[in-house]
Amino acid sequence: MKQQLENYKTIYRNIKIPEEILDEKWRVVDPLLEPQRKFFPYSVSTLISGIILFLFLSIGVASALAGPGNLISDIASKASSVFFKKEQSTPTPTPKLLNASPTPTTSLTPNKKGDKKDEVNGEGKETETTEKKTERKEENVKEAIEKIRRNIENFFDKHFDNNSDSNNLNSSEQESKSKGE
Amino acid sequence: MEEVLEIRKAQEGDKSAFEKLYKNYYARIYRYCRINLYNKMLAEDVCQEAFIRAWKAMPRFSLENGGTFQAFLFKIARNLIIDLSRKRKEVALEEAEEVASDEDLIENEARRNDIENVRLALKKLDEKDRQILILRYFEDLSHAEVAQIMGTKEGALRVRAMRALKKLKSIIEL
Repeated sequence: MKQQLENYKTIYRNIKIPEEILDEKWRVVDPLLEPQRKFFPYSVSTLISGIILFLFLSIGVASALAGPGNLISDIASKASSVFFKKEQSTPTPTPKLLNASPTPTTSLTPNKKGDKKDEVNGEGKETETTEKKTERKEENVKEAIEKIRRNIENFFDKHFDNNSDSNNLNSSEQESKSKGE
Repeated sequence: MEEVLEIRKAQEGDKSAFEKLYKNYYARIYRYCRINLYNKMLAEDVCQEAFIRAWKAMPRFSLENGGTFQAFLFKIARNLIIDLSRKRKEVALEEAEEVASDEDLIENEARRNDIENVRLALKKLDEKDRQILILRYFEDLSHAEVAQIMGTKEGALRVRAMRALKKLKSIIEL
């Protein structure tokens, strides 16, 4: 039996393919081999972050569908309140004063040659301009305040005088009534 | 060691590396297909298909856990043979005679009876037993490799291989 198996084995193993035929066969197979594709070409970290993102999205969608008083609406209300607070806290622009001259910009005109300050110290000009600016601002403010005061006085003069007349009329009427009685 | 390098290159898509592996293993896969399918042309087709599938599956192939490239190839070939055998059971018997008279397998008249006896005895065996004997005793694969191809545990395969050999012996001696 052993001999029979050995004979079979030798014959079985005698099946050999010549090199030329192998080359020929390879030429047939080669174009059939497509470029390999990896089973999952992404890294594990990408996969995990993708899963986490998907979970967040699905939870968000589910809670949004659940109705008010849920997580999403809470977050939205908090976000809106924060936004609102920020909106309120932002300083409102001050109303422009009447006849207020625009703030002077730094002049780009070259300095005069005879300007001693410039020759002595370069910073001198800057300090001068800032002082001028503040002075002008103060003047503007004073003018504006003065104008407002004048307006108020005019307003009071107009209206108060009328009212006082009417008050006087009323008082004279009352006097005449009392006399008639 | 050289083969491992070729495998790694082929896994990265190097066709020339895969060509070397193809030429190293073609004859073995072909004769395995031939002994199972009893048809030269069919064996060639299945062999070619096995290598195409092997190329596609290369990125998933791992040498870890005792995996070998030959076991990987034989497993693909075996699966193809099983698929094909299911489709053409009725043809197999007629084509079996072709192998017996083939010049590739039979060198001289003196051995003819012995070979015929073994061939018929193998045919009478269960399909799994026959595969185990061919892979283990004719292809000289290790028990671990055969177990990997057959999808069983090594211990169980050892026992089954011994039993299959005893069965074959009893059939031949009848």
